[in-house]
Amino acid sequence: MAKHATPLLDQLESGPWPSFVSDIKQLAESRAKNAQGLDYQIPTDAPEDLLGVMELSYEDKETHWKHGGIVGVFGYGGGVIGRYCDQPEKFPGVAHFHTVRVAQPSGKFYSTEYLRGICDIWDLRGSGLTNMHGSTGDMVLIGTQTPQLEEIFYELTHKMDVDLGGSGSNLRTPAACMGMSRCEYACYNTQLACYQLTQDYQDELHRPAFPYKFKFKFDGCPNGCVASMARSDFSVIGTWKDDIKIDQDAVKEYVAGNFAPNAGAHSGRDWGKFDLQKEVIDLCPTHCMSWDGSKLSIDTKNCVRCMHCINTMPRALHVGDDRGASILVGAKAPILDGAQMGSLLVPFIPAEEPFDEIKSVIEKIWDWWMEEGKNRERVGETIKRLSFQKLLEVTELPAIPQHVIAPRTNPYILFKEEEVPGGWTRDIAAYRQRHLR
Amino acid sequence: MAFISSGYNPAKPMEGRISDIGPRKYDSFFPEVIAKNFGKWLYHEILEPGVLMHVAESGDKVYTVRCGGARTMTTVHIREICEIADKYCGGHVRWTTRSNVEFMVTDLETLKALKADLASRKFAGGSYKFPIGGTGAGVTNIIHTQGWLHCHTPATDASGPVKSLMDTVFSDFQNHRLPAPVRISLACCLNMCGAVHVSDIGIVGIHRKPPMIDQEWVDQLCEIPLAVAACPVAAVRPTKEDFNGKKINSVAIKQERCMYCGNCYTMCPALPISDGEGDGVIIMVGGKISNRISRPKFSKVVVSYIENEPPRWPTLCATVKRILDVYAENAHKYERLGDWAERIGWEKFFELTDLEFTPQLIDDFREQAYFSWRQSTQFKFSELAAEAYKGAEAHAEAANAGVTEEDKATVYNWLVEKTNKPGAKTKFYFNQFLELFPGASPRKVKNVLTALVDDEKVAYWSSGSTTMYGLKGAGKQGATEEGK
Repeated sequence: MAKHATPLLDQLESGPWPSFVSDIKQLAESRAKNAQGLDYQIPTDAPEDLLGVMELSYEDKETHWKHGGIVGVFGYGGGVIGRYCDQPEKFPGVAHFHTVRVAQPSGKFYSTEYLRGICDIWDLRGSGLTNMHGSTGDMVLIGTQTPQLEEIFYELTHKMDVDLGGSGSNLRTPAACMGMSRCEYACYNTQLACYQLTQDYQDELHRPAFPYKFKFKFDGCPNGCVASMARSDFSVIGTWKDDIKIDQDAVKEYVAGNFAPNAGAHSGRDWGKFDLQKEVIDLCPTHCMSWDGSKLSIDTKNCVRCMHCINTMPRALHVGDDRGASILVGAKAPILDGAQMGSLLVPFIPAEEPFDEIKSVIEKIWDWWMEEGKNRERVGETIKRLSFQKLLEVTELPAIPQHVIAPRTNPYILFKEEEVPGGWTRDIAAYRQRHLR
Repeated sequence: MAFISSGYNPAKPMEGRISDIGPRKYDSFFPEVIAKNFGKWLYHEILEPGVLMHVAESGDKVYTVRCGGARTMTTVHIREICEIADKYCGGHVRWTTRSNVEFMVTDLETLKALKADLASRKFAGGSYKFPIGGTGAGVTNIIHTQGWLHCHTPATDASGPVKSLMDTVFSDFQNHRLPAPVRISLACCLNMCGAVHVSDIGIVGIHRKPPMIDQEWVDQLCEIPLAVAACPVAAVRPTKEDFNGKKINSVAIKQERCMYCGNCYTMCPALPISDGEGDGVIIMVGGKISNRISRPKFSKVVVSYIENEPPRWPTLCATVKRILDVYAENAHKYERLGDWAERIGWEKFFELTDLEFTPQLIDDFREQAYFSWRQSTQFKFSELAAEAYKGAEAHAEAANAGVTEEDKATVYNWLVEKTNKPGAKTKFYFNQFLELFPGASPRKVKNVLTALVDDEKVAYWSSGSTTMYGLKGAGKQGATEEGK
């Protein structure tokens, strides 16, 4: 018999999509049964009280969770987020219900041995509830109490060989697409870049000293599956400089209808016979392709690497061999100055181990932002406030037309004093010699 | 319950401490076929919705079955995933960025058995545990946030609306009928822990009431400077208040400036923000992250408010479904939702989807607002556009009303009084004269000034670009120009 009646939440058990309510109920049942005879370190009925407090929210359409707090593990400024229920007497099992962020492996491949190890710790010392995964990428363990935090951290580091993720004004847990592990479009090893930089910047991740949060994300190609350009302050996106590789025989197979276009992504509807001209050549944003009936040509100098032709004919077209990455900076969600996407800073940078080139750009940006950024100001906002030119200056990069969609439309150019012959100090007496009052 | 020590010694926290080790290295978790063909993949094909085949240069193939899942997941469910992965996948499994679960196998027979097994597993309540889909030109899993399950500032729930929405669009999770992929995301407040602002369809929880101030607790629970600093729009300032006959430290909130983000509540629990009848969601559409064909773009708000309707948010679900169906019916192959809306024009989008265009949908946030207004005569007609202009009634007679001697005296006497003060201004902008005639039409006031100019009592002063009024002959430059 359930501890709390949940008639509203129960309505979320029907329908085809996996029901989190059913899942939490099976967790509650499993803990009550306790087949393994665990000495649960937080209340056994935490999942039932969680359903109870959530049902209350469904009744009054308001949350019942309070603020963060100073909970954490010794020496770290992030990784744990305090959470308290505002109805602790009704729902004592979740009165204190803190979150632990666990650093995820790049690309999120797991072994079952590892996952079971995490589950064992979390069943004993927490609620058994997780997010797989949080928005930034961490494995998120939801719901434990303060005395368990150091114990969980100790077991994660000693038994599982894994660390906490980031939270607060620090480097947040970096994330990457699956990259070369199972994708033919990956222009560099996103997983290694992500892993290497996460390791190299552990101090920045655990001990906050930034004006606000800072996120890296690593996309292997301009398709952007990890959305780095929309949600990371520093976005590294794979690209290439040379020709798209064309297998002319395979192109003919697509034209003949023997290969499914777009890798079969449009199989749910009859769109008619594949039309190379209409579906690829005419949709190319720079019209840099042509097809003479037997040969496909691409004018590489005019190609902007949008991926459409490659996505449409993945068996015939492949990314070039001269590969690296573009760097875009400043993406963020709307608070405060409106949402921003990453702006192109470095058109092409080598992306090979040990990634020193990429790191040199990051560190120049940090040195500037840590000094000039205001509290709670993301680097994208600092750039807007102090100008893109300033960003170029601190990263020691030349201004190039690729940095803009178009040049400025207003004439309010701020010249530096040293750029103007003679400087800004002038002689009014000499001026009056030439101009009477 | 007896406390079980992990080995950690609170008296000596640094003893045997391991820190700064980061995540486990990704390749320690690779299945054999992934490790062997790393960086050597040739092409892929989606064999059916939810089933991918990747072919390597070596000729090796890996078949992936992608399954939807609630991102809020229990250890019981994860253990079941492990059991399946052990049975079919050599003990390996992977999650996608959008919280799907991927099982990988290397032969067709195992693939067949795996698919059948996954499809057969259901929760006690009847929903699928592992629905197969989420590939190609369809809808994949919804990225979302915590909501009422575990967050302190949400304006809506996350897991509940997501479950309801995914039930509503479930057929498109298992089909490739759409013109292009549709990415749906949900954030339970403006802080948007997730890329909702760049989604084909984004749902955002919004509050609509500024926080309340709990004067009884504010001085005891809050560090006032932190609450003040937390406000991104400087709407919170420190103040002293009388409470129960006592002077207390408190805050004052400029309500018209508040954008209801809840950041002050994060710092100060005495500033609660959520409100059952004020809170709800908006719908944003047309964003995309991919650089494919067109550049990435932001989502735009197309529904300015839908109330929270737990447990199943029927209005929200029906609205999203309608947008999705109209898009599916009208867009060209490969055209993302935002590309389609831009090609046909947003006026056509509102007409086809039958969504109401409300004043709240016109941007009024800072200078970027201007760039979303229409600087063009190019638009498509709708019934409303044809009839928006209502006629000429407003052309007022008052503007041409006669100027009396009393009106002129009012202006003249005011000017004399202002000008004669030592060191005073002698030139005045037109709008300063409006204050002398409260409620009168500006054009009438202009007639009074024109009459005084004609009487040679008042003169114009012009910089070439700006014109002001003053008493004739008054002011320093006046003297210079007249050679005195």
